[in-house]
Amino acid sequence: MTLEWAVFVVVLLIAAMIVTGADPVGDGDPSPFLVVVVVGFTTFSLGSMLWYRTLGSAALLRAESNEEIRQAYTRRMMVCSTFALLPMLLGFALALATGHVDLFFGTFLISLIALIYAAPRKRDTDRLDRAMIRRGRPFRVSAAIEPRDGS
Amino acid sequence: MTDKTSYLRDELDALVDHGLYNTITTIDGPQGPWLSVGGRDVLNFCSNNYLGLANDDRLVTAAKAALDRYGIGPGAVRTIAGTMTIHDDLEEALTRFKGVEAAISFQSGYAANLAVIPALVEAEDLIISDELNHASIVDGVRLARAGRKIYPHGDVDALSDRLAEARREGARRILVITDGVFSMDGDIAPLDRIVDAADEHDAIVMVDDAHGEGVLGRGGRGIVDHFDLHGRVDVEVGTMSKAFGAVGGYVAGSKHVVDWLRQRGRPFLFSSALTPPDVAACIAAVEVLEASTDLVDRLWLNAKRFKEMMSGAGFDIGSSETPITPVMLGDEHLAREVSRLLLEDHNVFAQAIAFPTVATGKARIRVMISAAHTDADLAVGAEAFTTVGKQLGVVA
Ligand SMILES: Cc1ncc(COP(=O)(O)O)c(C=O)c1O
Repeated sequence: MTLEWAVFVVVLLIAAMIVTGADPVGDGDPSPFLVVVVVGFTTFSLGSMLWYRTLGSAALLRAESNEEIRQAYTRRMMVCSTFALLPMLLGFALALATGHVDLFFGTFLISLIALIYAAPRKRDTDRLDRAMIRRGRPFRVSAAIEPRDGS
Repeated sequence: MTDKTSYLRDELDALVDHGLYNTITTIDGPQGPWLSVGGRDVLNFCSNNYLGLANDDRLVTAAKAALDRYGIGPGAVRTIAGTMTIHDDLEEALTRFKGVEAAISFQSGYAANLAVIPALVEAEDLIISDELNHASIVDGVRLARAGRKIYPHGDVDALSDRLAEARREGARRILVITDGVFSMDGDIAPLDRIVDAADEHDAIVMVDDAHGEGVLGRGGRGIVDHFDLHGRVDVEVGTMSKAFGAVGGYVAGSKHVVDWLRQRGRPFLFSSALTPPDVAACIAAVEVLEASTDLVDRLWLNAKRFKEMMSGAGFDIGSSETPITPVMLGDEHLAREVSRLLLEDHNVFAQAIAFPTVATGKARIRVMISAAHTDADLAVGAEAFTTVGKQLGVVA
């Protein structure tokens, strides 16, 4: 669902460029229009990622079983990773359409950092576990999601 | 001749007066989501048959096969002539399932606690126990010769204080004991923090996971798995009388703990072994749990559904974090009346729990959800509670 929406947004932006007659192709730097589109869209995606991450964390802290924690954690990771990927997808699409490879490199770097942020990290699970303890809840995200030795 | 026990009649009368007299219900058939009581089919809301295994074909078939092969009686205590191949098989299965070095079986969870606690500590040692630990732990502690301290329920800071105090007082060994899941409220012990606190003071940790076995952790492997504490809890006590659907208890842990219990666990030495059909049923239960998590998943789903229906109807369902669903009523007479009306008018068998099992003024009906309940069963039960609750002014 989120992915379909992302593709839709990218297509929409390219269409907008064409309709507005923006001509980003040329020597030198990308047009200000393109830069505004990319910056605006990147801000929107990363903002959405952070917003969903907050919602996802709240859902995790409310979970009523380890199974629910696993599901909530996976959902949070997938949605955040998708938002993290969007700037890169847009940069790629625009690079294809306009030949401005530097747009792709810029957005690629931003997406990469966002993806690392959204990926499973010990600091993240430690923070969630501390929040569980503060709430007096007997669930630990780290224990629910990690593979174990005892079989 | 004078009746030297006539004082008991007065005690019994007092129980009746205070609404504390326990009337025992007799079940006419096998365990299941519905039971036959007094010729009526009633919805079963009070068995510990969490996974519906108590009358499962696989367990029954295994028990019958064991009867044919080993007969009915164990013939002796385990240390004399009561250990059969099948007992070793069960202990192997439990070792595998729990991911531990070794396991030893007992006749019940109660017997396991009576065996392990006195065997672990002596007069120079100290036991620190949660105030709400199960009666079988309390009795095990009483049998042990060690000193004892109690810490407020689930309060790890208080436990740390007791541990520091015990060290200052020069206790040789310290044993910290907690239930995994507390059966009256359905709350889970913060075992990871308990283990951290115990490690800090070099104390032994024992958890009685009677209500977490088959319920918590991956595929029902229990509280140690739930918190991912493999290798950090010294002694795990379990029962096969609840989620496992049969009867029996066990202790899981290191090889030397188990070996010591074979030498010094008094119920192992002085009470006959589990019967072969029981043992076979227990092995089959472990195999069912190892083969699939479907039953455990269904149990949690059922519990979630039922809790949503009950809190939606306005009932106070306490702070349970497990499928145990206490419907808090407070007054002993009210709890018994709700239970009576549920049974008589609605064919719902949900027993009132009152003092001394829980504190006075904390009477409740403890609903035990099972994986065997269908959605319709849960709806029928919640509906009956709502009708009776409205009738008695418990909910609006
Ligand atoms: C915490 C706890 N330990 C031990 C037991 C006793 O188990 P069993 O019925 O196998 O003796 C129970 C059962 O009520 C229990 O709740």
